[in-house]
Amino acid sequence: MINPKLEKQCAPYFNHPNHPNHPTMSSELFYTISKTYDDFLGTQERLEARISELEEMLLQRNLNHSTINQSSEKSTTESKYKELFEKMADGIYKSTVEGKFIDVNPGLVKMLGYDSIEELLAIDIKKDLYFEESEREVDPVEEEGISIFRLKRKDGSEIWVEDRGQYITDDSGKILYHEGNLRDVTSRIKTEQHLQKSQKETSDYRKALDQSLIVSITNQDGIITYANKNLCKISKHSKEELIGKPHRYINYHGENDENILEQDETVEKGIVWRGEVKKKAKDGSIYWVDQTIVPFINDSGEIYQYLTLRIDITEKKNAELRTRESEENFKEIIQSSNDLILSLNIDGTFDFVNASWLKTMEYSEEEISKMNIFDIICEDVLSGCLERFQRVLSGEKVDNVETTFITKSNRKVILEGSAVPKIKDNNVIGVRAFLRDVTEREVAEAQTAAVNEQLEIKIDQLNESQEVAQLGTWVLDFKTGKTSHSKEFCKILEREEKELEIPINDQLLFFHPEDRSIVSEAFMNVIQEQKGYQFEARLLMPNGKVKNIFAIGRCSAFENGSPLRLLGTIQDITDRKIAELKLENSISELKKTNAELDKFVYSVSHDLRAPLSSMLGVIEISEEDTTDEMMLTHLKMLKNSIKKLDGFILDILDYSRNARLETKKEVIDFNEMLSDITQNLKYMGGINRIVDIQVEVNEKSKIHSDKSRLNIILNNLVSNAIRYQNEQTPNPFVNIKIDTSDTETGIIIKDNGIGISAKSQGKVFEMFYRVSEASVGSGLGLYIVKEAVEKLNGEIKLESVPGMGSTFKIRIPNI
Amino acid sequence: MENSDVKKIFKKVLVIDDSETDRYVAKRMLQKYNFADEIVVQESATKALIYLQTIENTPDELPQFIFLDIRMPEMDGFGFLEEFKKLNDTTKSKCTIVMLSTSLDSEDFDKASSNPFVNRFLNKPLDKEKMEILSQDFQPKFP
Repeated sequence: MINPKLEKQCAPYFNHPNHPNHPTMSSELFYTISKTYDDFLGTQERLEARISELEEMLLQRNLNHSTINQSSEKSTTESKYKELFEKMADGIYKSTVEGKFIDVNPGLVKMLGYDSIEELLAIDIKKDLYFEESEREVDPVEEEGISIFRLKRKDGSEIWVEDRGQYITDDSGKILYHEGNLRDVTSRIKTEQHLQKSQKETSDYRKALDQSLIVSITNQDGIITYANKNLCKISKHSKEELIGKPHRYINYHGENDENILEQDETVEKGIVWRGEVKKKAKDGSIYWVDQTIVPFINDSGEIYQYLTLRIDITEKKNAELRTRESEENFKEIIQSSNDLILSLNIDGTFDFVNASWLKTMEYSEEEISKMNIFDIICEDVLSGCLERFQRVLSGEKVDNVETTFITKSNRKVILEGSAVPKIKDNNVIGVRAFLRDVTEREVAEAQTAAVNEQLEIKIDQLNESQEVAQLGTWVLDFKTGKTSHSKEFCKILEREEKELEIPINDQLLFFHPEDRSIVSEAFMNVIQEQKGYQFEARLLMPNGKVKNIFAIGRCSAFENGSPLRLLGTIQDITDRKIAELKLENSISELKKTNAELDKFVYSVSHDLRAPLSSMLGVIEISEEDTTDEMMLTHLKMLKNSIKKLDGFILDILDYSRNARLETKKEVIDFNEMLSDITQNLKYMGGINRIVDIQVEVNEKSKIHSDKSRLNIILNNLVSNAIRYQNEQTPNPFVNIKIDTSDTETGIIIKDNGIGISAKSQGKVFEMFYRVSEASVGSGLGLYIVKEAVEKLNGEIKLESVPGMGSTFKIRIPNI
Repeated sequence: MENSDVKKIFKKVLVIDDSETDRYVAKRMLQKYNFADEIVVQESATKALIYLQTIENTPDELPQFIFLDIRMPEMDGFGFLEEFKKLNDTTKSKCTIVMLSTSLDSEDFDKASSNPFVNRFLNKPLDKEKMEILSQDFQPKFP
C-alpha cells in the first residue's frame, strides 16, 4: 500500500508538464523509494506512539501490582480483590508445578479462547498451551521476573504474552504454586517484529540509496542537514562543508537560475520537483544531475524538510550535448552544403530538401510540401528517372544519376549525383539523393566541345597547311627535355611520332653526318644565347634517302628570363634545293654563254674592224703618197665611210654589252674618266674644229657605279657635242658638270651646238633615229645612252634650242 | 718614200702581225716617219719568237722596238708575251713592246697594261698622229 498522502504529493510530479513520464527514473523505483521512506518515517512515528502507550500501560500495571501487594500485605478486602480479579483484562492465574491451573480469572479464559474457567482448569498446560513442549522448557526468565513467550490458544492461534509471575513458597522454600498475570502483547511483539524487519529493510534501502543515489536532506529553511557520500564525492565538498549550508551552495549559477527558481517555487508549494540540473563542484568542474526534490509535510500540512535525490547524468548529458552538437553540425552541413540534398518518400513526395535545393529549384519549403519530385523532372528524362527511382526503392544505390529538372521559373537545370535508399527497420521508406548542379558544367562542356571542334578544324587546317607548305613544327620543352612534333614534321622525317620521342641529342643522328656540326652548333647557340637559330641541313631518311630542310627555331615562353620552350619549324626544301641547283647550273651556263657571247662580240667586232683599220692604214699611206687633189678627195671620202662603219660597229658593241652585261660596282673617279674621254675625243676632228671641253666635277661623295656604262653615256654625249658643233658659233664648247651626293649623281652636259628641234627632241632617244641626213652617226648613240641610264635606274632629260645648243641632264641614283 | 739619209730613231724594229696589209701599212709608216734603220716583219708570233731566239745572244741584232698584234692565229699576242718572258734578260730589257690592235675588249687592254713588257697599247691603224706621238715619246735605249 502506498501512503495516500505521498501519492497525493507525487501526483503533480507525474502530471508535471515539464516531466511527463520521464524515462530515466521509473515510477516503480520512485514508488519503492517513496514507500520505503514513508514506511520508515511512519514506523518511527507509530513506534514512538506505541512506546509512550506502553510506558503508560507499564506505569498503570506497576501501580496495580503494588496495589495487589499492598492488599496481600495489608489484607484488603476480599471482594475488592475479587472484583479486580474478575474484571481484569489481563489473565490472572495460579498453577501447579506440574502444569495445572488452580485458578484463573475470566480474562485469561477469554485471552486463551476457552469457553469457561472449568474448561481451562482442565487442560494440561504443558501440552495444550505450548506449540512445542520445548518452548516451555526454554522459557527464558526475563529481568524482574518478566518473560515474554507465546502460547497456543484453544483455536490453535498464536498469542504472545508477557508473564509477570512468581513461585509462592512455604517457609521451608518448597514451591506451593505459581501465580502471575499474563498480558496479551501479541500486537506489540508483532509490531516489534515488523519494526525490526522494517528497520532492517530501511537500512538496506538507505544503504542501497546511499550507494546509488546522491542524497541530501534540507530543512524547511533550505539548510542542508544531511549529505551522503555520493554528494560529497560528486560535489567534491566534505560532509562538514555541506551541512549547515543553504542548498543553493552546490548549485551552478548562471545558466539554470530560472530552472532553480521554478524548482524552489514548486517545492515550496509542497510539490515534488524533478528536473535536470547543472551543478558546479568545489573545483569548478561541472556535473549534471537528474534531481528529484521531495518536500515532507507534517500532519499540520507544513513542510518540515526536503529530501533531494539525484542521479549523476553528467556523462549522459555530455553525450547528449555531443549528439546534439553533431546533429546540429550535420544539419548545418547539409543546409549550408552547395550540394543539393533531398530525401523523398516512397511516393515521390518530399520529406526533406536543403537550402541549396530550394534555391536552385526556386521553390519555397511550403510549395515543396505539396509537390512530387516527378512534377519537376523534365519530360524527356522522366521515364529513366522513374526506372532509377524504382531501383533505389528496391534497395540499390544508384550512382551517376543525371537528371534535368524544371525550376519554378521554367528554367532547365541539370543535376548530377547519387541516390541511395532510405532504410528503416529493414524496409526502404524513401530515397535520399545527393546532387550537384552541373548545368553550367554541361553548358561549359558543350562550349568546350564547340571550341574543341573549332580547334580540331584549326588543327586540321594547320596540318593541311603544314602539309601544303611541307613545313613541320616541333616543340622542345626545356624542363622535361622532351620534344613533340606535328604530323607534317613526322612526315618529312618519314618516321612515326614514337620514333621521334627520343632524347634531343639522339635526334642529331637524323641529320646527314656532314651537317651534324651545323645542327649541334645551332643548338648550342640557342642554349647559350636563348634566342634562335636558322640553318639549312640534310636529313637522312630511314631508307637512306637524303632530304634538304630549312630549319628555324626560336625560344619562347620566358619565365624569369629563361625560356621554357623552343619552337621550331623544318621545311622540306629538297625540291627547291633541286630547283636551285638547276637554276645555279642554268645561271652558270648562262654566264658561260654570256661570256662566250661577249668574246664572240669582241671577236666579231675585232674581225670586222681589223679590215677597216687595215683599209684606213692603206688610205693613210696613199694620202701620204699622192698630191693629186682628186685622189685625196676620194681617199677622204673612203676614210669617212670607213670611220662611219667603224663607229657603227662600236655602237653595236656598246649596245650589245649594255643589254647583256650585269651592272658592275666599282669606285668611280670622274676626273680620270673624263680625262681619258676628252683625250680620246680631242682629235675626233676631221672637218670639226677643236671644241673647248670644260670639265667641272664636284665629288661630295665617293661613288660606286658601273664604270663602262658611265663611260658609254659620257663618251656618246661628249662626242655628240663635238660632232654636232655649230659652225656659226666662233668658240664651240661642251660643258660637263658632275655633282655627286650620298644619294645620287647628277650629270649635266651642255653645249652650244646646233641644237635639236622640238619635233625631234622626243625621238632622239629612239633606236636608229637620226635627226637629219647630215647626221653622221648610226642612230644608236642616244638610244644606247638612254638604255645605259635606265640600266643604272637613272633618268635622262633633254633641253635643246636649235641653233643655241643642247643640255642633257642625267640623274643616277647611287648603287 | 724612204729617206735613207735621215737619222732613224731606232736601229731595228720588229713588226709581228698576221695581216699582210697591216704589216705593209706598218712598215711603210715606220719607214716614212724614219722610225728605224731596219724593219723586220714576222707573220706570226711563233716565227717572231724563233727569230728572236736566233739572235738572242747577239744583242746588237735584237730589235729595240716590237709592234705586236694581239689577235693572231696559232699564237696570239699574249702567248707571245708568255714566251718572250723566257728569253734572256738582255733581250727583255732591250726590246720595247707596243701592242697594236683593233680590239676594244677592255680585258685585252687590262691584260696588256698589266704586262711588264708592254709599254703601251695602240689602236690600229698606225697613222700620222700615232707616229708623231711615238717619235716624241721613245728614244732608243742603246743609241
